[in-house]
Amino acid sequence: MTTPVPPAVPVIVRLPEPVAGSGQEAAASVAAIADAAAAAAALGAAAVVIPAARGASALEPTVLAGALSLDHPGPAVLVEARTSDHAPFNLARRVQTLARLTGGRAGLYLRDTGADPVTVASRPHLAGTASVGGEYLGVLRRLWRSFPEEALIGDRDAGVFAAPELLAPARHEGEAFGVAGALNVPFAPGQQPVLLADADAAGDGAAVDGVVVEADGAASGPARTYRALAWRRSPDGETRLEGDATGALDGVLLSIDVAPFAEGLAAAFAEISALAPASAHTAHDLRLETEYA
Amino acid sequence: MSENERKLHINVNILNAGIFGGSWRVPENDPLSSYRLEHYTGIAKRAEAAKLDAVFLADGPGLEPDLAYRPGNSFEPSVLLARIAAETERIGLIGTFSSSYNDADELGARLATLDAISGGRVGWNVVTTAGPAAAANFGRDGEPEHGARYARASDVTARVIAQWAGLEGTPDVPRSPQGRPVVVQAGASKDGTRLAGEHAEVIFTAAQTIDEALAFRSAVDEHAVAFGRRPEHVAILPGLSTVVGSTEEEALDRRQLLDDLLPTPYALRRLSAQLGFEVTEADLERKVPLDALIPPESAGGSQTFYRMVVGIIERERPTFRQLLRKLGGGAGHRIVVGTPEQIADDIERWFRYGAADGFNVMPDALPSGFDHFADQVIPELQRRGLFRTEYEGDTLREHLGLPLQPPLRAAAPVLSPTW
Repeated sequence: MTTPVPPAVPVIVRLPEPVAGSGQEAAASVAAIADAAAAAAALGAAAVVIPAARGASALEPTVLAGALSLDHPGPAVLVEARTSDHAPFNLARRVQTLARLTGGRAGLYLRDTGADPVTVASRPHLAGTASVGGEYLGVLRRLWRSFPEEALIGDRDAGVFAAPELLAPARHEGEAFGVAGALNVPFAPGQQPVLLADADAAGDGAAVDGVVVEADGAASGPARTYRALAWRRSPDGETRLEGDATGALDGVLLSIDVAPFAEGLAAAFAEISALAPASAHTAHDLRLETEYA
Repeated sequence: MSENERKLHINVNILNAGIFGGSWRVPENDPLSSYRLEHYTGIAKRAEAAKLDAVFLADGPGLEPDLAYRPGNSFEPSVLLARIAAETERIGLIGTFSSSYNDADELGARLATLDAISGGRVGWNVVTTAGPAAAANFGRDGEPEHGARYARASDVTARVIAQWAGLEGTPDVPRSPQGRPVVVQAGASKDGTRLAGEHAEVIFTAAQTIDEALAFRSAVDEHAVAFGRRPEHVAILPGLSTVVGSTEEEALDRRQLLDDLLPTPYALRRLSAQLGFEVTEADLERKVPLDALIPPESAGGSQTFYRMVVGIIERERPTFRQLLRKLGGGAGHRIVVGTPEQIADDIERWFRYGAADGFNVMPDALPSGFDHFADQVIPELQRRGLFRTEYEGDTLREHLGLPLQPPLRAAAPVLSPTW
């Protein structure tokens, strides 16, 4: 078997939806997700996304990612999450925890679906709001950089545990969210979570590392543009990459809509690599160098 | 079950570096240990080897104000417990999650996931989260009033249980290998005791004396019966801080060391917050004045620990310094200091009196203090036939011997969107 040529652009692979009916099936489902992640990594995927599945017996992505963190070093694991399911402080904290468990190989693909119930509980005017994305992303970024690891001192002799003056509390008071704090999870240099969002939610893109656009979309701003491409069966019975993979792009968010997953994945990678082959195996860092102003 | 077969239930509370304010400064541990993953996975593996019921993580969604002087909670518990689950097989996994600052359906689904992937080892410690600091991370100007927090907690817990039980009107979640995760509760205010009677299968209490613990037990039993539950389906596990020495002298020396390591500015601030008035260094040799204390029912924040502190002051009439020492910079859980035999005697006495079904052990410093407990006290309890030498089941519910009960409320409550 020949080693496949990895694509020149970073490819982020959307894993199959994690669901489980019972305890035993849950364990099997975790193993299947781990296998899918490993298959993606073997093909040179820059990261995988654990989908936030809806419906019966969906497994929650941050918990799943916590369990999968034992398998590291694997590909970076991004969790998908909807703004309407999580208050920003809670989601920021879980993702920063994942980043700490994986040495920075973690991140978030945020979907803008409006305000969450905990926020609405004290801000009833937000009920039914369709979009909070730009503000949410800004809050996440502020929280993620609020507690630099250098603030942990641990000076036994002086009795000084930490230097609170090095913390940068979010002090955010916006239309949707009020978030005072620094996060209680520190970050190490270069290990901030990777943050992706859809183009319409990303605002000016200043807070995110990557913007996901539809197959024919374009994006502006400082973030990378990831084109959402799907490997699926066409009406003629052929499987192919759906979407314009030839347009200018910084990266691909790939979903595999045929079974078996691993076969579809390999075929899709072959096609993306043929379109944009790498001269050598490149390791893609999805994080931007910017300071996320 | 006959009295001879009744066994202790023991959890270890991984209270970051340990219960004492100066725990992180003991010479044998890395002072920053509790900000590393291995701290938690290491203790969990030791706890599993010692056949404990569970590891227990305290938590709050916010930064502690005392970070300058001692470590705080950091890793988010559902994610951390998922990782611990991946590295262990039998140990129970109890996490603290706020009923005030989580959405019931989201939290229920998340814990159901954790329970499913861990093979049914999860317990949810329901807390309402006191204090304005956490509130300010969720768009609030101040902490919701005590009664409102507890009314909300009752409904949120009922809704989560309904979801786990698969009642109509709740989202489908992964099925639990233990029937349902175990509901744990920790708060002994009037409202908290009622919440415990309604929902709790395990109660994490703070009690200084056997009489106090027995009185609490009968109060909870009364509530449980009023809700149509059986008192024997509620396990009461007081917090117990342990300072273990191979001789009594060694233990007392270690206790003294922990006092010496308590950062003074922290101790004063903490005591001021606990008493509700400013304590200065100059006050330390004075007796705590009884007339300065407000009644516990009127206290904000955690009434449980305020009540505990008032109890100590009334019984012992300590100076501020003596009170500080008694509390050890902790919140007010009971501290036992001694040889493994002495500590086992104490545990056995409480157990035989019915004041406790077991304990949430809070070692003096982590990880070393838990090593002392697991290596020395657990074997002594096993020798006395008080603690298991092997797991008999795979799930937390089996470890605790708690039967699955049908949900108290036949229908899932619909929560008010604002409160």
